[in-house]
Amino acid sequence: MDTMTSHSRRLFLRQGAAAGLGLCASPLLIDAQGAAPSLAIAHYKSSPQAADGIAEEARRLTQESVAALGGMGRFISRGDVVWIKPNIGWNRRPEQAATTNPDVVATLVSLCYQAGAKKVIVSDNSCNPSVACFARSGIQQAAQKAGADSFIMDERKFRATELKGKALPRWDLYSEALGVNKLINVPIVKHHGLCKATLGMKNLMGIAGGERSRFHQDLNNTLADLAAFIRPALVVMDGIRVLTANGPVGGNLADVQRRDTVVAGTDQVAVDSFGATLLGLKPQDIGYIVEASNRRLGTMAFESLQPRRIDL
Amino acid sequence: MARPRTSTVVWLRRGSQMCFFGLFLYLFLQTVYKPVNETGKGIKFFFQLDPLTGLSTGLGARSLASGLLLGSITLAATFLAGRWFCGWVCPFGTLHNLMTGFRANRAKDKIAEGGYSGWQKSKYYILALMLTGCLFGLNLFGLFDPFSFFYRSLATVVFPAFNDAVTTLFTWVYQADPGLGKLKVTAITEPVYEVLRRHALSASQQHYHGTLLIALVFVAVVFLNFYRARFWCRYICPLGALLGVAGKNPLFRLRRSADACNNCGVCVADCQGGANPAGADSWKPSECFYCWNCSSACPREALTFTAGAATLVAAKEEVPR
Repeated sequence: MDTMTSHSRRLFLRQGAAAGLGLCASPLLIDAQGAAPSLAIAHYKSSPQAADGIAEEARRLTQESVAALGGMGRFISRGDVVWIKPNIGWNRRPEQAATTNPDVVATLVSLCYQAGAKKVIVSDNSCNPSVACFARSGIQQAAQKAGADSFIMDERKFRATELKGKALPRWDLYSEALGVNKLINVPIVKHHGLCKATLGMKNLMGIAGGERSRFHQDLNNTLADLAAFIRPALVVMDGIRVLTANGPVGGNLADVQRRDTVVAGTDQVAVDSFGATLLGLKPQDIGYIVEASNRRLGTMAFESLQPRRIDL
Repeated sequence: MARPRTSTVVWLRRGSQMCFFGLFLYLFLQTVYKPVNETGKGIKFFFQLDPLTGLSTGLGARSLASGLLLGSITLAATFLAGRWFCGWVCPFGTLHNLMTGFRANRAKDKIAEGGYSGWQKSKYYILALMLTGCLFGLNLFGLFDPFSFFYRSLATVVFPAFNDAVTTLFTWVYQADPGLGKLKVTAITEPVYEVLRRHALSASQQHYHGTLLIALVFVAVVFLNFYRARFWCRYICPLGALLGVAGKNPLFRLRRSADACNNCGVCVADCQGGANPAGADSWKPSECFYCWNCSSACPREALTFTAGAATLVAAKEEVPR
């Protein structure tokens, strides 16, 4: 188990180094301040109501937000095996906004392949029975159509992993998700009855197995521990339909409001901090954002990153 | 005595049985809770072929569903050629046939015990009881219909056990990770498991209440074949009983040449239904599965199935015992 952990750590370091080299090699990405953009917020003004209109919106918001960061080529290298981790936690339809928009996921799959990825895997450890979640959310079908490998997780492959965290010294994590070259976290913004908001760091719970209900004893430290250990190469957050009450499971369409926004970023804490504002909250209101910020996993002051704003 | 041969018709019958048995298992696997949401409903084909489905539903609900009328084709065919469905189609019957084949009994014993027994009437009483139950809204066919019985046993006992065994085996290899240096056994076993996991195994290990009872009854029914050939089909099966009633006087019949027959009784040895193919006027169409074993076994070619009126002529003389 120790060997696996150190292997994963090496991998993260390697990813970091590769990202750094990528930046040096592409000066076009570096803006006037001399730093590559780390946060992009895309907003769709027309807010279409028809299903195909929303699908088109999801595609364009995803493409434009990733493009504003410099394109998928900044994060994915030729030959990479990529794990895309959406929220497939609940047996809910996309309109109920408890799971990530399937077209956001499918667009990311296509972008990864265009950037030269060898294989793209789309999976999650669902809370409701997995098969139903994968089907009802529409994510499995959309991801497979885009060429991804999207199957429920293999229960045997959760392995005890040393996280050396405050709340999680050791926990069962999905070995295959840690073993890939790149991880892209694709959460949906929604209300959460306990921690106020389900955002990107909360979405990392889907890499964990075992008795996850225990996480709720100390959610702030647990999520910060997960975010410190599992560092995604990119976070793309779905804020198109937002569940504003009775989360994280929801179900009532009256609780769903349109925000028509997709955020892409490399700073997990900054992405979550912006996500909180879509629910009318301040980043300071949310315990795990504060905890992650205190541990310097990223910045709560997302405006300081001078986010690229795209209006479509 | 000439060595028993196996006729072409017997091989055709075996081929038909294997096709329907394979189809049943294939359609069963489509119903398994797999990692993709593609549960197949094709298995209903067998229930539609089963006239008991339409009959019990019709009696219970006092109405007929058009989808269940396929069973009337099975019934109509039975008027022509008796219980051929039991011998050529029924996958549960095929299972019993296979188990019967494992018996190590000597031919002499098989001849002694293979004939018709009055107890075979029990299935008609079971059928009558169930039909009466239907009139009062009690559906007992769900318990004793052969397809229900077989499907339930597969779904709650056989498949979960298979699933558990396969998963345990591959997990053990995965966790132990044996190998020589970089050559790992898992390099072969994991891809195999992945294919099984996605296409044949259940998305999660299923456990059912009452499995022990279902398992005991299933194992008992399967092993009763060692006591009497195709025990279930002869003594219990309500579908067999219904087809037996419909096929009491079929057009297509077993005919015995009195001149050729010397009453050796070898035709009885592998008779699946206990239908008394030997002896004067003793053939019982309601118990015959049209398996052709008798005709195939007869060294003197005295038994043939042909269309026409009943003409079973007594043998001229009995062989002294």
